[in-house]
Amino acid sequence: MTLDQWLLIATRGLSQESVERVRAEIQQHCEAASESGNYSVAALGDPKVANRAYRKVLLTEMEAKLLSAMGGNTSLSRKPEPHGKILAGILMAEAAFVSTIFILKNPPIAFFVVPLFAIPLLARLLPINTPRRGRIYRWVRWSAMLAGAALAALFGVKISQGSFLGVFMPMLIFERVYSSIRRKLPVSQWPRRLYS
Amino acid sequence: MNLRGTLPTLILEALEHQPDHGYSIAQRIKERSKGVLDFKEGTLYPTLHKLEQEQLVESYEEIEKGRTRRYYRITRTGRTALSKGRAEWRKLSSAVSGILKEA
Repeated sequence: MTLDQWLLIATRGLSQESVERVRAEIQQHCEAASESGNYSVAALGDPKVANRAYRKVLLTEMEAKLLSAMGGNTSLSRKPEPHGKILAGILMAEAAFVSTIFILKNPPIAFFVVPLFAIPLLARLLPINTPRRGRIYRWVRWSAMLAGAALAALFGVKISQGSFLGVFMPMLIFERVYSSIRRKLPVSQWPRRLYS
Repeated sequence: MNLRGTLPTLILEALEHQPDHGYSIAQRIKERSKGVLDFKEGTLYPTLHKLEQEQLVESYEEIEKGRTRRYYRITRTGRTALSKGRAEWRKLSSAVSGILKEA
């Protein structure tokens, strides 16, 4: 296997910034090995194992795109576009409208719907921009949502498997990706969205 | 020999007295263990990144013989983690030795 082939596999799925850093450090490593007469691609080990290890510590392509959409500090970063904010506002207003209708028709569902929409909306107003406050906020949000779902179920509101998968699963997936980005990125580079 | 879990401590140990670059860190670990601890060098850098994220080491670039080289140095937090790692290893090692002597 050549060094280029090794790098191609080891950097698969990583963000452009991460790929450049890995390429640079491995090339420097191989240059140092050549200088001492010990150069061998085999000494680097299995590139798939290295790829798995790199994915745990460096931003992946998907994480970098998400970070960029949040206005984060990566080479792909850009400021959120104004039409994005307008669209988010429309979606929020729509969600609030649908929630109000639901609540009026079926009051117990408020237990479920209010934490689901009101708490994330509150995040924009709360001073949660420290890692500790962010952690507390997330803990409160998940507790409120799960407690809300439990209370709604207690009052006889049927939360179907479909709506559970449709609401909680995407949130869990995002939570997992956000937590991975938080681990990989220095706090000074966190966009506000990452705290919540 | 499998290094799982001990590589971060070994890296911190290798950096205790002077900053170093990745290749040299790998070679020093192998030499000091007289070849017993042989690991794949491709796994060294993800571990170094992790140590950097945890602020146990910091990196900087230097030009050496016209080539850019990234050096790593241990931080104060890293020294504390190293002392803790050494103490944990001594405890574990003495416990395992005790069991093996009995057997």
